Amino acid sequence: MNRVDQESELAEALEQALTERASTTAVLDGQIAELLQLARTFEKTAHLIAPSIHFRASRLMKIAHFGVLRLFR
Amino acid sequence: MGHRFLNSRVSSAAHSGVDDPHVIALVERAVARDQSAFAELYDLYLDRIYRYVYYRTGDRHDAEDLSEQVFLQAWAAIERFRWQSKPFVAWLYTVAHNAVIDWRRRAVNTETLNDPDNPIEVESDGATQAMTQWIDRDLLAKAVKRLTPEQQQVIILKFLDGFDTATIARVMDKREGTIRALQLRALQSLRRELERHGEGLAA
Repeated sequence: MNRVDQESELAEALEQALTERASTTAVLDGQIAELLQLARTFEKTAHLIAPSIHFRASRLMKIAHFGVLRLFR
Repeated sequence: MGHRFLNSRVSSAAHSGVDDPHVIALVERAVARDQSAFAELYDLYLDRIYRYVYYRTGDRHDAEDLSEQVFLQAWAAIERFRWQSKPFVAWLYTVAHNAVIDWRRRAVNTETLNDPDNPIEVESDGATQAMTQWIDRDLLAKAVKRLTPEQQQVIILKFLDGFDTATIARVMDKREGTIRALQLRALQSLRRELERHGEGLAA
């Protein structure tokens, strides 16, 4: 099996592992299990990152202000 | 990617099944320059755009500035928006992608991720904190920043937005096999980067 085929097979195995959310890392190939764990960690930590409440409020007011919006038309 | 989402015109029926009816209604009102509808879209998508930009720039101040620019540019261009069998957020991501490219062109110093005076805003509770103790969030963000733009886009669309591979393929105008390969390489690169900095992946 050449390198491209190997990568394609690995990519497919990863996709399957990501899709089958019930899978446990214990039954997966070592590399796939590690990548799956990393993906899950990224998923969980990424959703904790958010703009500050202050930023959200001030920008929303600005966005809603017609005078400001007209400048960008 | 470029600006191709911005100018293409397709049937409005193309939104069928892509976004939920509430979003579709808001978008159609915003296209007709309804400010309150656009403000709702802003509220709905700010977090996602912020995360997207944050992971592309690695700096929360830049992410805030760019997020604001993205929505202002989106408002300026929304009359040209047309459904393309892709979620509305894909169009916003295109605007964000272009804003990041412009920002990179302007940026003199791109290594501004770890600003000790301004730690990254992360809302965290006990459970999630425990879960993520073994991995440095700043380091993960920095590792993402080192991926290629296409790899960044794939993992953001997959793991932040939860899009399936078929949708990501449509959003990025690529084959599903290409998306799977990009996804694999992105995660492999992230793992290598974390290992290089001594962050083991074993639980």
